[in-house]
Amino acid sequence: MLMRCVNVSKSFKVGRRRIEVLKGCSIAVDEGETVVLFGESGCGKTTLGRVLLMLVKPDAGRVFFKDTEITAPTREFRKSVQLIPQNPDEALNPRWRIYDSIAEPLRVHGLAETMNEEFDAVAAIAEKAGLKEEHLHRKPSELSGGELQRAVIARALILEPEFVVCDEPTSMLDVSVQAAIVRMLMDIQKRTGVSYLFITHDLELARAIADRMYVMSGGRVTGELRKEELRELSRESLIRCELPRVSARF
Amino acid sequence: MVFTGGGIILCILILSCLAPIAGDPCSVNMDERLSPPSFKHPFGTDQLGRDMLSRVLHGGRVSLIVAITISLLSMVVGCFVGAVSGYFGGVVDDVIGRIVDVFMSIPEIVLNIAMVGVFCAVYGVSTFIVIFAVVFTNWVGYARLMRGMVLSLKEREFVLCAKAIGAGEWYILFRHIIPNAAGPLIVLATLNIGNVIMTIASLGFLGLGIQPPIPEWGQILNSGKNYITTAPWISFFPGLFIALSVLGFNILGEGLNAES
Amino acid sequence: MLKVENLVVRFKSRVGVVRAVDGVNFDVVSGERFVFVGESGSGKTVLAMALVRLLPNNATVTGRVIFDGVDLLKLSEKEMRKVRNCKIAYIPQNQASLNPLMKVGYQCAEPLVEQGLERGRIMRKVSELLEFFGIGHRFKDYPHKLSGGMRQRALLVMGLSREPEMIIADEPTKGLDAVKREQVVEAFQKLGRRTLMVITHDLPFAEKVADRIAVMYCGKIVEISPAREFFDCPLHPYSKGLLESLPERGMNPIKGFQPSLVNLPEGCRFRERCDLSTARCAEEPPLLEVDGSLVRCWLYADEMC
Ligand SMILES: Nc1ncnc2c1ncn2[C@@H]1O[C@H](COP(=O)(O)OP(=O)(O)OP(=O)(O)O)[C@@H](O)[C@H]1O
Ligand SMILES: Nc1ncnc2c1ncn2[C@@H]1O[C@H](COP(=O)(O)OP(=O)(O)OP(=O)(O)O)[C@@H](O)[C@H]1O
Ligand code: SF4
Ligand SMILES: [Mg+2]
Ligand SMILES: [Mg+2]
Repeated sequence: MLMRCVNVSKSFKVGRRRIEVLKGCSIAVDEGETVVLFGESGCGKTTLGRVLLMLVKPDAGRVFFKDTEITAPTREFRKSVQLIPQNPDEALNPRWRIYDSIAEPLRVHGLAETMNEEFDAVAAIAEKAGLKEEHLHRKPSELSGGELQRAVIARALILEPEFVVCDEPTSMLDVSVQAAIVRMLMDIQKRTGVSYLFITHDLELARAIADRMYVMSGGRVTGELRKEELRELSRESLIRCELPRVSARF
Repeated sequence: MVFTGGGIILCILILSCLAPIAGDPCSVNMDERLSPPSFKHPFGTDQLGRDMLSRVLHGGRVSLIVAITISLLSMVVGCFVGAVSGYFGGVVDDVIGRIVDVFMSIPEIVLNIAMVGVFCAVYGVSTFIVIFAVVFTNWVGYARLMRGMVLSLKEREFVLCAKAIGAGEWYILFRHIIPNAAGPLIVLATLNIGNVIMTIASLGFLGLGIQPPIPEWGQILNSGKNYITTAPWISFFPGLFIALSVLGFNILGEGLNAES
Repeated sequence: MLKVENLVVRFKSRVGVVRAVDGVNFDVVSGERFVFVGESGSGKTVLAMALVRLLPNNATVTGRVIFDGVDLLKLSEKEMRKVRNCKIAYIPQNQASLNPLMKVGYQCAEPLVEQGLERGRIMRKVSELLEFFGIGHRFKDYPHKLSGGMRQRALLVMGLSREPEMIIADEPTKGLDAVKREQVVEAFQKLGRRTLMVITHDLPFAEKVADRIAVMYCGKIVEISPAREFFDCPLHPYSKGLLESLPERGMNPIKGFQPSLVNLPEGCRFRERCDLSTARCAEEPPLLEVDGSLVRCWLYADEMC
């Protein structure tokens, strides 16, 4: 297993109460796999994704990357796992040009030796994501929602990571661009063997891309479906998260 | 508002730059002592016959340079302390918070006088001591603002995303958080320069500030107080310039505030 | 109700002038549900923000926006505030437009306070709406403590609570699951026959709420059709391509991406990506009328003769 978490839980303080957001979740993602995480709004998908990347420390439970437990994330770990955040409009520094934001991962890890090298890398990934050079010179507030979303996708992919948490990466894209971007993600997967944890609300999209799917509800992982099971499942039962406990593997 | 404030400040700055044209502020001429404003001496002369125009303009150079230096130094110190305190939180934050509370609870001018008094007693009087003493009390405002800004900025998602790509804590603090606090900081700095001009003038008036023969507005004002009935121009012109420059910086600050 | 005539929005940018909206004409009759779809970056949000005059300073807007007989572009800033507050509610696309320093409930109540309603009623109304969308218990939370979908619902509440004459909602369903999307449809239905202008990428949602659909591409409207006809048999090649890209229809994207808005191609703007283009497409196609629909494509020019 490339990435796996065992029994993680997390609670947040909200006002005077504590709310339990994750109540013992375990999921695993294999190399080269696309795993969809599906569940109603507010059930803790984003939080689980962040816990996997150790951006949020779990209260209990353990996270493994390539079978070593991650307690304090190292630079190497940060380089191999990336996040495509849910809200692209808040995910980039509002004062930076898009170009700098996309190039930032390279700079942080010292991967581009010369300016030209950096520029070529940024231009290549931006083009794949359907951004033009004119967009790269603007600030985040001067792009459309979908363009921003593609900018954060480019930023996450520029390091050629091994594992990416894609948190609703196509929520602001029209279906045609969505299809193009998803195709691009799949191409990259074929080439480099990257794994995706793909969070989405779009069942049809999930059906089209998933190798496996986890269903979450109220902070728990309530089901796991293989590709074939996913095809057969009726829309209604999924929407209500009334899942039979399929293949309880953990 | 920005233009009015900026205009006033610009005028004063230009006049101060032109100060050498107005002649030597320290050349004594006992024949012309206490002469009222005239064509030769537009602002009159003082008890030693020194040209007031030249003295006020030279004083302006000193006051403005000192005030801006103090403001910038306090900004650097205050921002650093506030940012560290807000970003790392925990014990650091508690300790710094207490110190800030102590400073905030004492009226600034009292603290300044005490500080200058202490430092002067130990090290003797000099311009650097004055600057140091005022910075010592003045950084607190910046620290408070910065801490608040950082507390809200660090919850923003772009900080989390910077972490996700592997950026270090200090990198995030200096490259992402502090630059995004720049707007309110500039507003505060502008308003603060006005305050510092007042503080320096007050210290000068009390004889604790910058020492003669370097001319400085507060100290000129002080020297004129014995002649306030016979030669009011000695006090009037430095007073006017203090008021104008403080007003200028305040209007500019308010204007910048309204725009952001 | 709303009539937009020859609206043009341009942005000055470092690399040249961005022609984000380029001569848009349409009208929305009272009580209608008018839905915009189109390529990402085609100018939908800019169009909506131009209607309510929320664009940044580097934008120049020309044309006419007639709302209830008044040209909104000619109103003073103060009158415009009133229109935004009481007549046209704009639900922004950007979740960053929530104030991070203000609790969600109070933020939703703010426009009502400005309307001068009495306090108790405001609180009741806001709580009711928050409750309807299932976030009543998060009334006193700051936005960053909510999940993405919750923030989206908060934005919806903020727009709906004002009870305006017209609502312009920019991607109201992004980040929401199927059940919550149904709730949005229900909330819109509850509004009775208030005028609604929705911008969305969510085609199933559009199918549910729309009376008429407008398709935008590269700053221009390329098709306006009644909803039923649009989903059964879209006219414009771009619309066809869009429907083909739905995951349930095979997820076949239209090749390439929209051309740059800084140096737009001559003639039909879809030409580079269109399989049906002919020599004639080197000229700009006019907006043609075909059985009650409008479409900007040369393919339909012959049917007229
Ligand atoms: N920093 C935080 N402080 C307090 N509560 C939080 C915080 N982050 C998340 N939560 C709460 O945790 C719950 C789950 O949030 P999360 O963002 O994981 O949901 P989600 O499944 O991603 O939903 P959506 O589909 O709407 O994005 C929500 O109730 C949210 O309010
Ligand atoms: N302030 C600005 N300065 C320059 N260009 C801008 C500015 N705001 C928007 N644009 C450009 O105008 C075009 C239209 O943007 P708009 O936000 O309307 O797209 P959209 O149709 O809403 O797309 P999406 O579906 O992705 O949100 C985009 O190409 C964008 O880059
Ligand atoms: S005008 Fe020509 S290029 Fe344009 S959409 Fe129609 S057929 Fe295609
Ligand atoms: Mg989420
Ligand atoms: Mg938009």
